Amino acid sequence: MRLLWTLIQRELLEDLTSSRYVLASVLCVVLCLTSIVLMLDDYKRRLERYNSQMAAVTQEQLQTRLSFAKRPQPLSVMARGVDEVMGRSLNITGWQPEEEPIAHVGGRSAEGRHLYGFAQGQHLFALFATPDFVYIVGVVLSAFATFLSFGTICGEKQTHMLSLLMSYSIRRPTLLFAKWLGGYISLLISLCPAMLLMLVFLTVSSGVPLQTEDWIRIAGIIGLSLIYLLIFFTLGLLTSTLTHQPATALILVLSVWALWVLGAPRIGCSAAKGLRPVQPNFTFGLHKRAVKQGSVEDSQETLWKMDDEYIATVDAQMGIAENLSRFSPFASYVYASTTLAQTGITDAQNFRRQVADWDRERRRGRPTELSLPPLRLEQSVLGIANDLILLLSWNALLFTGAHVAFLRYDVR
Amino acid sequence: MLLTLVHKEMLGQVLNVRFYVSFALAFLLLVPATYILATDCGLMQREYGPLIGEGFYTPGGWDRFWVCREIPRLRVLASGLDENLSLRSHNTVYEGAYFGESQFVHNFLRDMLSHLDFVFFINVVGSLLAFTFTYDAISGERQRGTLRLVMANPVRRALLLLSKFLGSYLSFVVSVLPALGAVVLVLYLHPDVGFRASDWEASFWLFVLAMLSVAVYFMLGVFVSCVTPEPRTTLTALMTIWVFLVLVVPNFSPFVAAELYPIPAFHQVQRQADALTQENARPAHAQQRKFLDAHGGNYEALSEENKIEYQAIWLDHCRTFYAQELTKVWEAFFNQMDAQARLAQYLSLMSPSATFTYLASDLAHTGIESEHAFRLATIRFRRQYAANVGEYIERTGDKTKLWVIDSKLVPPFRVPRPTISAVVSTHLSQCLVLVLYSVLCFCGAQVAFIRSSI
Repeated sequence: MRLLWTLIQRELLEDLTSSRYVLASVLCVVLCLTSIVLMLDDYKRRLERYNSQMAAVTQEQLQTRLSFAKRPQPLSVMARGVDEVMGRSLNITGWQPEEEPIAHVGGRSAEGRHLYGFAQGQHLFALFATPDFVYIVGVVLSAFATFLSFGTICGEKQTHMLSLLMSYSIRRPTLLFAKWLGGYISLLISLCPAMLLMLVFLTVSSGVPLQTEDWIRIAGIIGLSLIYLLIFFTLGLLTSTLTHQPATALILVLSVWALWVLGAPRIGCSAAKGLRPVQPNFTFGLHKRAVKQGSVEDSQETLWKMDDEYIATVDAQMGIAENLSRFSPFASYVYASTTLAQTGITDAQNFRRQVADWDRERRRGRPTELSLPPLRLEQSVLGIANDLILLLSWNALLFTGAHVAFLRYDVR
Repeated sequence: MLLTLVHKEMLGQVLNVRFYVSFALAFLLLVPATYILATDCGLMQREYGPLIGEGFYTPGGWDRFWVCREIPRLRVLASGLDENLSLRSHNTVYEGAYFGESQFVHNFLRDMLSHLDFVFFINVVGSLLAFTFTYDAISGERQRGTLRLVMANPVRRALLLLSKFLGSYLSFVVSVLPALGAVVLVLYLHPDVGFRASDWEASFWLFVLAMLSVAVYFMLGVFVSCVTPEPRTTLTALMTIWVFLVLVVPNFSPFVAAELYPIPAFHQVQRQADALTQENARPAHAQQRKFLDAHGGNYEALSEENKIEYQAIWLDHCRTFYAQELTKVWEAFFNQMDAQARLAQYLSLMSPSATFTYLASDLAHTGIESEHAFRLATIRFRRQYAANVGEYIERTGDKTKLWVIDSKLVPPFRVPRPTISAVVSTHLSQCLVLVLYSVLCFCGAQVAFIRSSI
């Protein structure tokens, strides 16, 4: 134990005095702070848009809530997910059952006209990913985590430090564990200032009302981020135990990172579209119109059944895409973090279900108050269980791989 | 001499593991991604059926119509705005245009993870590979001591630098060439792609621009390798630069542009439009009241002919108002959005990746310019249609065309599709910036190399 602690101390000292960790720390501070400032402004803009829209809705519309929007989630400043998409204004028209399912996306004027519906936001934002905290951790910091650990074993071998260390009575698993733990603690230390500053900024900035539950969710997102970063740190360690030169290790680890973080989730999502094609809303609307007999009221139950089948197909496609993309820890991390931030797929599906149920009850003559409660904390935690297990499994798998590889490693 | 040095550099690269990694990555990412995107395009083409193809379409309803444009074929290589690109606009006689394909029930994952396409590959993987090919170009040789050996020969430093750049760059091109060939084969053989000559030409320029964009990263790699003493430091510096140029600047710039050049929120513009609508409706309502008073004051008691006349007063107002006055408000809003987009483009000029994304998406007609052109084309189309209906009524006195859409009065709908040279000339400054970066990096590398100890 004493030896382990000595080894960890040595690793910490070496890492924390190296320029790479200092650079990582500075980079984290700059990125996290810039991100939180921009995302806070973006949140305020969306909130303003929401308030402005709700203020424009007439009294009559307020009673029937035929034109409304979803209030932006405060935690979207950290994980925007599909919050912006869900927050677009919705209209439910009298002839909705024979048109696209549930609601139109688009603005609605005070007179009840929808005008230039989709031109609500700047399309430019669709060209690049949103630089929120989840993006920074998921893409930028994961690359840095691999970069910090790729030379852990093979780098020491190159400088002949490894053979020197192994000439002492140190068990290989102990050395590997010390390097893994020491390196990861160093990574955490370099992340700390950025995380703390971000949380301080979040606390002092006005306009984001955070409750106790939100802080628990934030803690969850940070916890997930640390588990996720550990995967890439361990991946670097594994590559380091598989290669004998740092240059080879770096090229391999960056390739795996590119395939795993950038390639796999996107290919998974795109492949699902081919595996389970979904009819576009537009042609589905035409199909429904062809099926409709008599007035909308007469055939609304049939049309809703069609809607349910259509929604089930869309959900099935999403399910395939989610499962295929879960091969990448990046996808698991994004799904879990957005679920915790109440901006994930489950939240979007929940919102969609609530709107549909409310509208149907209203049309059946049993009007109810439209309330759109987001998922509770327990529901969110349950929702992330699979992804959390996956992330932990990746860690265990990679560390086991590194362990086995190091046992066979030629340290000379 | 240059040829010998390039040959030596290429040999070194080809024998290195990074060459094979580059080859494998290009094959594993590019080919499946292109195939999937081609299949996706095919699905879209089939689902939209008769609607695909530029022009006007009315689904049988008597007061509504769509104007559609073709699905850009180059979406297979540069998906650009992807699902956010409007392929059609929904119009009714009584309302404004309604753009876009965004639906309430859709695959939400598309909003979280964008497509992996050729542009994404070049921007992220290509740039990363460029740095792994060049990080040890000078610092590595210096550390191994081979630089001293090379410089013992009568070799000019500029020539050595140029050979380092050319050798590593050409090795990269060779390593991705088979994958690019396979991509071209997929595009050629896939039944859903159906490229025309102009698409092949645009694809060629897309590849050229991609290579230009990657060349900047190669030059940058050589430059940093000259500045830093050892490969490890070079890598640290390059990784930081890569993070900023590829993952930070392009993604942050739209948000920074939104900060610097705020545009009114959609609902503010909508409120302005509502106020204008109400204000403009007053004379038409007054005219209707006047008409009703002149004919007994009871709508139900009106003859069929008078009822049509009564409705025509309002519809004639809608014809001119929604196609002309109201569109001015939206046109101004679109122009503001366009100005904000331009600011974001200028802000991201420092990143070759962002520059290439804008260039590629405009070349593929899947970008901001294309969206803007479609919206303005719709506005122009509606104005022309309203004018045609007005002319017809004036000529024949038949007011039924105010609510029954007559295809004879429909003007041709064309979205101006800029030629390749037009796209390049629009983005000439950005193209020049890419060239300028390469030249600056080369000059910087030369200065650093001259000053550095061997």
